[in-house]
Amino acid sequence: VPTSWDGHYLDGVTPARQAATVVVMARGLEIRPGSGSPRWWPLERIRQVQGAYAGEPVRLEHTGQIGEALIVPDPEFLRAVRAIAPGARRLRFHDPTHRHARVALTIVAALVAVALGAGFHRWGVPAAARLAAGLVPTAWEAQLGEQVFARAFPPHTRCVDEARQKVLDAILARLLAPHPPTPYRFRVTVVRWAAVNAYALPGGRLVVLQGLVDHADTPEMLAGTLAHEVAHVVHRHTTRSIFEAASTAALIAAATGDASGIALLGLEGGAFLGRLRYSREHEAEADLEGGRLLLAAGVDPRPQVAFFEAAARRRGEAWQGPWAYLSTHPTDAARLAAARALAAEATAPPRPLVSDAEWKDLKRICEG
Amino acid sequence: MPGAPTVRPPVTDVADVAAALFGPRASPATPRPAAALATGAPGPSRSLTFHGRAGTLLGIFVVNVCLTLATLGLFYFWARVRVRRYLIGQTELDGDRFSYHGRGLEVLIGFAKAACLFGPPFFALQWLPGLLDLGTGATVAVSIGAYGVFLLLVPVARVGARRYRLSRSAWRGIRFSFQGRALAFVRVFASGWLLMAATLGLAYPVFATRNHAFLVRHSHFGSGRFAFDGRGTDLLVDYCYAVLLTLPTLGLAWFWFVARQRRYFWEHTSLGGLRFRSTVTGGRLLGLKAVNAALLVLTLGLAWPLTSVRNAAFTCRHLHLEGELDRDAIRQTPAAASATGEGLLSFLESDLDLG
Repeated sequence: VPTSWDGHYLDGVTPARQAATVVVMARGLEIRPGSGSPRWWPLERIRQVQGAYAGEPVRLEHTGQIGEALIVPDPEFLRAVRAIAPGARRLRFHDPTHRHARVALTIVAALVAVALGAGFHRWGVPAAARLAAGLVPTAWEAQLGEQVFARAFPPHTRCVDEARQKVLDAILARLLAPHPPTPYRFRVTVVRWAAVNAYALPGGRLVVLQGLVDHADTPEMLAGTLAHEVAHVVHRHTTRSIFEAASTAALIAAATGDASGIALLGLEGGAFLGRLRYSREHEAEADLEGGRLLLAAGVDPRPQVAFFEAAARRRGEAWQGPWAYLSTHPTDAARLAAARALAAEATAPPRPLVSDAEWKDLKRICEG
Repeated sequence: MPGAPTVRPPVTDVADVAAALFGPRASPATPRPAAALATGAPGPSRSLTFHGRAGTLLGIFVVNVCLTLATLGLFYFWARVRVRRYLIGQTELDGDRFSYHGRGLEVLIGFAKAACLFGPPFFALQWLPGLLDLGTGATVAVSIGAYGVFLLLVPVARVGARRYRLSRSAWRGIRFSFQGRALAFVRVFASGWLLMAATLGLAYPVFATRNHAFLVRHSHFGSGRFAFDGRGTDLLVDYCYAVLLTLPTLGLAWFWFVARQRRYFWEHTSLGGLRFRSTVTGGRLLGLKAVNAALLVLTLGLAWPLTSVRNAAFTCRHLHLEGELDRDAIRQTPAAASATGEGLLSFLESDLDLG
């Protein structure tokens, strides 16, 4: 092993560099600059700053003086130090002999990172969101729900009809009757929008769009939707999704380090896909819990099954397959299967919700 | 940060560090022997060399991700330092590489300090109005207050981050440093901001140039101090063109303004006998950013190591040094710096480089 190496020396005082010869000894390095007296660096005062990556020269610094450094272009120098100075093994010098193992280690690290990321995504984030949502006072949820309600559904869009509202309230009350007490005050409002949809705002505000009332053939179908929305509220899905979005963002930030600017655009796409999964989980949970609510209230679950059958027929197979990962809801097939399984659990014969006349009248709630 | 109106931290570091070296206000009448720069035997004009490889950075990135996840995020600060050390350590000038001496623990402590100092007031101002259901007037007042606090923090964060990063960067063993006061920069920043507000944004070049001048003039390489002699009014015409052409060019005109500003900033920066010159053009900048954006979006951000290396190489390739550093005039000046501003930058998570 050669003991003498060429490099250059920086004295840490001026920005001039001097060609130098380094002699490796058992207890340290002797640096002989082209001019000036030799410098003695005991091993324990030396720190390696560069030279751990391919192509990098080895840069050692003396810990006693800021900037005093020795640069040796040949990484083999490190091997010589380890061979000649046994004490160097205890120091955190890079060992070039292990470089070839890096690729393998990096692949292992990648696999571990993917496993950890998937684990956090699958279990960690939902669990943390559930825990955090449990700490949010329900009064805050109600506050948020009221603000959204006032802003998104201003009074002129709401269908106000006292008598018909009473029938609607009776359906909701029937669903809630068997449910254990919740800290929420449930209220349902029909809104003059043509889309077939309904929303659950945090805190207990349920909003049913007029389009959904028009499309519902039976009061049981409407009740199925209401039960689904009640489950969203009780399981605090909105609050949880806020925490899930935040933890997904934290997860991505942790995984990407210094990303900023345009990189965030790409990451936002990833985060969006990640959040959709949580949305589908919430929907599946609301289907399940809403269905149970229907059964407990003695509402006929078969119209609900018919509703999903119709939806599955209408949309066909197109929305299954890979597209399912871009959906906020589970696939129609999955929802249909879940609804059928629940319907099969029904033991007692269903009791009618409201009379035919009342239902026909309720469907005209927005006619004023 | 010199000549980088939109900040990507790693690149900014390289630019910062490079900036520290590139500033000689050389007097062309008295050329110095090239030997002053030691063995590099520099010609009249030379550029930085960036040796970094995307593959190596990808390896660092993968290990960082793994450790950050395994430590529930704690390793994040060490990860940042590792990336920065790599990018800076791969940048070479006149045969010597820059070196970065930051430590993860320092950055973590800086972050914790920033979070304790500025976190509660900022989030209180931002969230309380909604939660407490204050009246509209009070909500507006509190929002303006939050905005004011933010405006105050931006200059403090920029000075703090610059102070820390420069103090941990070195070339040929000589540390860089930033010796400006945060409060002084708050004054420069706030007065510039007011001027900009009063002129409906027209004074942006003046605002940006004043900020830049403050940051450059208080930057040092050892005992050598950077100088900057640009005036914002010189960029006014280019700025007006950019504003007028924003719609017809769908915003692409800004690449040309940013490139022009970058060239202007570098051309007016010097350090002793060294001066800087940038060859960035709008077209080149657009090409770089367009390809980077496509790579990042298509890979959901995974191409980040590649785009970082591309950015750093671009910065180095287009930055040229002329004249020489006065070897005898520059001495090491040890100076301490805390990482608080550094932490604040990452804490606020926004592109703080409004200049």
